[in-house]
Amino acid sequence: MKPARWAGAIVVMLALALAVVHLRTEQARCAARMLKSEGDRIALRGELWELQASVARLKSPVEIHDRLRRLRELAAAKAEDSTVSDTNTLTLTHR
Amino acid sequence: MHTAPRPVDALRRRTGLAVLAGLMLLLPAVAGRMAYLLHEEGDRLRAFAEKQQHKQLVLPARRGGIFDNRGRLLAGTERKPDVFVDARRLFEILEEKFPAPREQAQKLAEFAAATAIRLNLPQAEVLGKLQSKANSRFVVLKTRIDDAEAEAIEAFDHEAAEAISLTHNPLRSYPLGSSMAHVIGFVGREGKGLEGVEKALDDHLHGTDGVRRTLCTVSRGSLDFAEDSGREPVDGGHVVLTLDAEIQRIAEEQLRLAVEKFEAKSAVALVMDPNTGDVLAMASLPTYDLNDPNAYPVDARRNRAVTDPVEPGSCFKPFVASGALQERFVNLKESIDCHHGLHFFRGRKVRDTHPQGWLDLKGIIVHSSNIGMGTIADRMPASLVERLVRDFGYGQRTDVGCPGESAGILKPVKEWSGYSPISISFGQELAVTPVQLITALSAIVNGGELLKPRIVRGRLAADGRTLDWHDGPEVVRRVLRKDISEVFTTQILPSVVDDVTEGSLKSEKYTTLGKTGTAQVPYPNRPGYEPGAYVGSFLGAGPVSDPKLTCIVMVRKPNPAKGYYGRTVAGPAVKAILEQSLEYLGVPPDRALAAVRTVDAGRP
Repeated sequence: MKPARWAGAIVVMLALALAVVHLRTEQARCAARMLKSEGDRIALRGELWELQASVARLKSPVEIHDRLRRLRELAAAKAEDSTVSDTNTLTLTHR
Repeated sequence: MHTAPRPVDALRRRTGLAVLAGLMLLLPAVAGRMAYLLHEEGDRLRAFAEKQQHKQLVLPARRGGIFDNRGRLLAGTERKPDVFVDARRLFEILEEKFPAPREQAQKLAEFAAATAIRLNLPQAEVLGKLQSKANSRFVVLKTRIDDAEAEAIEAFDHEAAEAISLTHNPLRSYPLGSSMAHVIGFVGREGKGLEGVEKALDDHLHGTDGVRRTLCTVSRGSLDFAEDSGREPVDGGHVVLTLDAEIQRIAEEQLRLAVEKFEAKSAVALVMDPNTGDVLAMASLPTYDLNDPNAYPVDARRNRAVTDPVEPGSCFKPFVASGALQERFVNLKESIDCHHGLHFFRGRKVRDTHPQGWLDLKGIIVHSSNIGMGTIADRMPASLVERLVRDFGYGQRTDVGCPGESAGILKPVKEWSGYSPISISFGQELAVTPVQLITALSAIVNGGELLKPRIVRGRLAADGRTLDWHDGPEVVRRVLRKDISEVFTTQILPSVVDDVTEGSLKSEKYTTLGKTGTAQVPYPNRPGYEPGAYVGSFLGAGPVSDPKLTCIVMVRKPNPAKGYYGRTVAGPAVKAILEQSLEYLGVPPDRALAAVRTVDAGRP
């Protein structure tokens, strides 16, 4: 065999070897990505469960009534404040 | 020409032969070792290699959710971390890094203090746990820590920080806390239902964790899926209850107010749809937080609505009275002598709290006359009284769906004395559960049919498919004719609410009906009644024209100085529960309409 052919064969074999290595690397990378996705999925499932529980807590009738009560108190306090300031304004005007 | 081998060649050949012979001798030894490793140590080494080259990732399954009848989540799953310390590793690190015992003790105290600050725990508690479980590899310091605590632990900087870790196990969480605690129940640390629906439907709710097997690197990082890649997790199915979280909140709030006002030991409230048997609220006090059940006494976990039979007292009168009316042992126009509050039946004295002279059936129920009721029961054969009472479901479990349900106490008629029908007619000599009482009241107001009460509306698969669903009523038997049911629903029982001015329980929005009951509490282990111990009850329903809800409140052992009659201690709670729940359900107020009807009826 002529040296040129030898060289060609070596190049082809080298290319094949590189392709095999590349494929194997890609396979390992894909597997790692899949494993990571699997882990992410588990974590997301956990987060979803937590969010569902949080929403349920916010939607609980006791919580809703508590929030309503707090809002009413806040509104009452604000109304009282504005009455006081109105009275002050009136007093000042009268003076 | 033959030439003699050179000495060097001969030496080479001899050496070669010697090496070959040595190798030939070594071969059986190598083969023997191989055989030994294969046959004797093979399993152990294969398992070791398997453990070294593979790792398992647990894919947690989700326990099914429990929902109320409007889809509110009552029991879900969260992944709150637990903090644990590998105590053995901790002490090894301290010994390696600090040879002097004094220094070790100081560093241990430092570790405990730093951990305690991060977890908001007393330092002594942490130190005590670590010292008492020094050989343990898993000392749990705190469960269900919040995000800030988890971050603080992850950023923990200490010589022995590697000994402290977090586990993220799925944990059952109850977003409504103590609401419906006795119905929902809770699960143990292993995820098995221990009480309530969690226990009753554990087989349906629990899931099976999955496993993912991977090949791993020397540093235990996952490299690839193993050939046998494990199994997928199987999530648990869901359960939908008939209870409504808002009606439950109303019932719990009113019950709490009653218990606080009358300083009672315990109390029960139930709300039911009388047309379907759906239990809409089931509340018991004392109660407990489902997220931390072990912090409460066992007594607080009892679902008194189903487990505790009590003598019902006067609220039992309508059941015997309606039967007597149906069987013609009394009629609506007849007047019965109530002997001004004192009479003897078969040699036994019976008293009325509010002495009356002659009363008709309605008057007997409105004034709750024991003598009037005893006179009616005395006319009836004992076997008929027993049949009527059993037809209403007393003396047998309702199978409402809660574990630990009691059948109550109702002796067979052959064990009755001559006085038994009389005492049973006003709710003595028998014990019933609140769920039996509300089921029987529902039978009176729904046209006379005893329905099977239920707390479970249906079961869903993990993906939401319906497995079974119960909408309509499940009729057990007819106990009253429709006309008798109507008489009690529209004439007799509304008068208990409307015709009494003292302590009026009349709602301004809805027409309601009811029956009061006050019973003494018997001694647990001997005959007779505890002095000053009462159960005040009130059974109610509304609106009168078409009852949508029935309700019972029982207040046990109120402070007699504050009040103990059913009308006083339980009546206001029933009124408020009915009023607020009917409003919430969108039932139009009918009190004004009823007044117009009355005026119209009075016109010529």
